[in-house]
Amino acid sequence: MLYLLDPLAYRIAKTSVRLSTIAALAGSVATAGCDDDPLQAWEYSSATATASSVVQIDQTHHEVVFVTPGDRELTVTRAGLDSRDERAIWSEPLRDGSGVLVLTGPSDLRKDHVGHKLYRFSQDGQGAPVVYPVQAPFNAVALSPDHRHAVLYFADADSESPLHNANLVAIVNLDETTPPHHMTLQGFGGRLSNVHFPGQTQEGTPSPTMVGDTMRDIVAFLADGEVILADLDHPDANQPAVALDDTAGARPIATLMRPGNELYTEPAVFVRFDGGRDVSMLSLRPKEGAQGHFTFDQSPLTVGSGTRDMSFYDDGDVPLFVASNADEGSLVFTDIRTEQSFDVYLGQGVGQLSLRTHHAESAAVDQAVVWRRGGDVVYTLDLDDIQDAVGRRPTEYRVSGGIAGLIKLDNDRVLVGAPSQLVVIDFARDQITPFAVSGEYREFEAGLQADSLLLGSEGSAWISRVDLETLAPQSVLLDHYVDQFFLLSASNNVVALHDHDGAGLLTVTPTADFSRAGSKTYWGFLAQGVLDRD
Amino acid sequence: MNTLLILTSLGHLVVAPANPTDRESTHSASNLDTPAETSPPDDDEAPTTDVRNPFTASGEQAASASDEQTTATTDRETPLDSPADTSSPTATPPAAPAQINSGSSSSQASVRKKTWPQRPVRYRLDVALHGASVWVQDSAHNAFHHQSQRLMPQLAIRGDRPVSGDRLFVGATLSYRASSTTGFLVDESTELRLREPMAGARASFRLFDGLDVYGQLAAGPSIVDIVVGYGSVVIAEEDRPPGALHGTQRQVALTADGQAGLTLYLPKKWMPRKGSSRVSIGFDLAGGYQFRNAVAVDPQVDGSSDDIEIEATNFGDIAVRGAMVSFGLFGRFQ
Repeated sequence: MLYLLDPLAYRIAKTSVRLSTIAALAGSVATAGCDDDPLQAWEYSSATATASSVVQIDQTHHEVVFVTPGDRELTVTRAGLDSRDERAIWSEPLRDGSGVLVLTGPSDLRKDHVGHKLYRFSQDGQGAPVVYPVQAPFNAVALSPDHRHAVLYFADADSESPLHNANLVAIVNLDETTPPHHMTLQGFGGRLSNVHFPGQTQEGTPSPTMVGDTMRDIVAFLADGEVILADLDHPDANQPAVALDDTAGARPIATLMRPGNELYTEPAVFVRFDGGRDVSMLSLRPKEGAQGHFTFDQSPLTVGSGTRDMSFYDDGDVPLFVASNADEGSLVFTDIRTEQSFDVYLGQGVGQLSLRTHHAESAAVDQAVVWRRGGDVVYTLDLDDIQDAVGRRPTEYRVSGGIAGLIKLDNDRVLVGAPSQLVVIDFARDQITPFAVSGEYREFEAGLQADSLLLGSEGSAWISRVDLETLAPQSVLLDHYVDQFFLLSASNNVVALHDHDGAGLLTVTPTADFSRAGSKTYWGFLAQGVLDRD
Repeated sequence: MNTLLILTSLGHLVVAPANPTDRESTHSASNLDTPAETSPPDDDEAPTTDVRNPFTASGEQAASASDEQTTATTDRETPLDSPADTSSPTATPPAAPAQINSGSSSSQASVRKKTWPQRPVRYRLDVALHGASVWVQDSAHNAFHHQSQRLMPQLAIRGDRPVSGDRLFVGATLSYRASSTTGFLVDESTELRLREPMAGARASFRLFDGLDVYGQLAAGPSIVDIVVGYGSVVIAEEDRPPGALHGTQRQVALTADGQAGLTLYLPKKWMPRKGSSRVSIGFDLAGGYQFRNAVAVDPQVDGSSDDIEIEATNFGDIAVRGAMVSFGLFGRFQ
């Protein structure tokens, strides 16, 4: 079955599961002959990518390898860790591709003089890295969408240390070189599982929220049965927390922040639970009698246990909370002031929800875009005067075979993946364009570059490009199977790493010359100059 | 010490001490009068016998000749074979009176043995097969062999001739050596092949017949073949999986080596034809240093014109050089 990886969703999901990266860092170990000989024993991680380079950790030489394609040439830069006593635990590229974070610990756990550090390397490995001392071998990192912060935490019990503080977190200000702020969450004892940034909905755009007279950059820590809020810009402020009702299904899985406005002045954080029939609305306000602190008032919004997604929309002078209920096949609209709600039935394909602005001939209209994994339809529903829209019906866009994933290309277009086809839906033109897939693509990695969609698939030797203006596809057959696929936005190069045990094999295809003639394969880049090393 | 004047058959007037046990004088007399094997002055062997001495009884054999000594007809060139006699054919070393010791009054019938003329060594031509073990200093060699020690067999032809006498020999050598090893570089199989025709100069000093010390310098091109990639060693090209990478390179470098050692060979007296022997066999044992300039491991990837352009990385340099020990067997023509 084909399915798409939404780059944004994929990134959020990755930060919560660090075990796979930890395993991947020791994933490929090639040994032949003497295991102690660095010429014959090789240990490196699976690759990640910044805006300009493919990045791999070389555990054998305690280095981070940056492979930067240029104009028919490849530059390999090796950035060393401070000491050969250090070993990389995990790596994570920054959301904007401007660098990569690497957490290190002692290469030998018997060496207790070697602590843990967080390195921030530039996107091509040039220059000295910024090194942050950290107090624990955190196994997860959450990167804020505004690119300003990284929050290190323990996503699960797996750790190098036999005993660790499960609710210890470190807040790293990526704009500065000051040491991270370490703190233990002041909750109710629930074990931390995830970190969200509910107020940051625009990539790369700082969006703090005014709480009282203080701008706060709210971060939500989701733990078992509770939610703890903190302020990234004021980490020393208090941490208001709420314990959740066990009977309601108490595992929080999603958050959303509505900034305050003239309709509802207090900013509100909505928390959705796994299997819960209520969504908790946390209205933020300054804490009385405590200068510089804040708190919230909790109120439940009953939306039904089948809720799969949520959003908010101001319909005239009514602030509405919108929830998609898959069990009912409807959107549930709730006035957050009165907690009064009404439903609009769509159909059986209700699941994920997003909003867009539809530029009609007469005026701009807000629309809800709704779809469900496994469903066969994408709905759009006009939201103007939705309270008075009795019997309003959505527009349906049929996708045969079942929806495996959906990527938002821009305000007007989405890319839908199905088992045997890709579909581009243009809402503005009311157009569906299917791209038949022969079966080579099983799991897509997708990248957007200007007006092109680039696709590659693990286990296939094909990479493809779709011009989103003309909807003309191009495909290039490489000479080796693709293992990993990256779009380097800084250089407009598609890089396909091939499944090759050894010194490294990749192919670079420039988007400007998307062809075999324009491609070039590089072999052995991981071992460049290895014979000259001591 | 009484001395005797001996008029040899050569017409040389020789003054010899009376003491027949004087090794030096004994040796000198033997050098003069007998074309015996070319033994060094400190040879322990007894002098030759059957000197035709006008002062002795006709046909009388001098005493104390060892059994292995052969008589010999007088030979004008005999003195040249003797290293102690290199100064001049007309030198008059002290004669060995052992055979004319008047104290021995035995009248031994002369025993005629089959004699071989003492042929001088005007040249030596060796065909040698060597095996050298080189301890490569460069750690990069571990990518092409499982150890730093490299075995290098060599076939050589060398010739020399005496200069300024018959102890110092100078000459030249032509040789060919080859070596091939395999290894792994970051899980890529590798192969390093060296083929080296060389020419050199050689000097040897004969300590005594059967033992030389020598020094040798040689140089030449080193044809370096490097293979990196799947199937370069074990699996033939036709069996290589599709997409398997294979890179090759050939480069000519410079190689030179210097060595010094010992040559041991069968002396003439041990050979059936004694002094006339034209052949011998022996072995060399030497130590030295092999040099090769560094070669960049930068293979070109094999592929067809339909393939996407592929470029292999420069893996770095390798310099196969280091101390060596050599052992070889040779056959000699002289």
